[in-house]
Amino acid sequence: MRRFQLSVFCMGFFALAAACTPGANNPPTSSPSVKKGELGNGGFTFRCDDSVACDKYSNAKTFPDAIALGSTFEIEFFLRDDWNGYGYLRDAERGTTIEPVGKYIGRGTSGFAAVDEGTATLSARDQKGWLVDYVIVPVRKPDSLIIYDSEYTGDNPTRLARVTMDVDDHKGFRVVGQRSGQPLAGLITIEWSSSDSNVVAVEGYSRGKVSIVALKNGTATLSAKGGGLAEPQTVDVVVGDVGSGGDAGSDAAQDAGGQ
Amino acid sequence: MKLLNVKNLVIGVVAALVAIACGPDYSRTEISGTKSSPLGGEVKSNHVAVPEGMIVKAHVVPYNDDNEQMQAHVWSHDPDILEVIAVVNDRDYAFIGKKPGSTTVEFQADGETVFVVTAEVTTQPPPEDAK
Repeated sequence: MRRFQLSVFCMGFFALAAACTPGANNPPTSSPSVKKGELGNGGFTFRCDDSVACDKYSNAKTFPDAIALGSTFEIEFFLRDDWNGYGYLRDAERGTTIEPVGKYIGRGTSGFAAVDEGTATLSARDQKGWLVDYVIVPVRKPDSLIIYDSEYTGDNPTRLARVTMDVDDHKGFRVVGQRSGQPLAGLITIEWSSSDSNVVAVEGYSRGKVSIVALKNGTATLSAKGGGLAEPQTVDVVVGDVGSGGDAGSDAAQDAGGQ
Repeated sequence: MKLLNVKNLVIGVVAALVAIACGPDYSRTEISGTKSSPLGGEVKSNHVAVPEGMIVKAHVVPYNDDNEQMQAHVWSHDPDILEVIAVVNDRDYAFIGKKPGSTTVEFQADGETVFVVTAEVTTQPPPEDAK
């Protein structure tokens, strides 16, 4: 019994030590989450998500092709680890900072904000201010927004057009920006509103997720406005047995939103 | 005896002057390994052009007439328009387009200005799919 406890303790200790070793969890350069710097001195990762369900505590599975105008995100830089071969990355040395170039990307409340449409550059500089590497990322204005179920965890969400709920049900939604059918990365700040807050009320909005509650039978339109679009994206929320509403659930739009 | 000393002094001074005059002088600056941006840009010995928000990298090496490398220093006269910073890779410089406008960039070899070129930061074209 004592031997078992000792082995469990040792396993736990080594697992903890491995997790705490700097660079132990760094991605390899071959990972799609890493975009190799233009100078080949390291790699950049995009912290948010694969343009869906923004989670600031995990890196994007794939470095995005484009970022949504008006969105916020984080970028991390890893140095090329020559000691362990080019295929590995190590944590950037203390004092390395990431500086946006020009007007396209600015500093956000946490991390960076895409503030102007164009082709943006983010540079990694060392303590002396010397350039270590840089990455180029297009910033694009979304031409549409996709409202999707916040429980969805993939990278190709379905646009919701109509949702049915029962009284006292709670539900969450997120929004991703699209341009020409392609998803854009970054957390877009959205202003949510309900056309009838006696039927469906917006409870809260945090880290890209809106929470709603169904209060009484009826129909309300939930509107999401943001991403620089003039018209809001909407989803009809049917509460209870109203009209053609059936079992509680969600209907995807037929107009190819989210492909 | 005195005449001999004067003669030696004159020879010494002349030899020193000849030695100084014949020391290696600045010869040329080679700009190579230019990496332009997806939107273009160039660094040449007569002109620098960088699109706004972009970086153009160049390898800059001044040589003396003994074909030895000299210490380079490159700097922008208006870093708010075009910033020039050293790259961690030896003798590489980054020309950073901060905002549209014109300025001049000074190239130095061993602390002496060897040439000054006009530099331009151009506005970006509208995104392809926004035209």
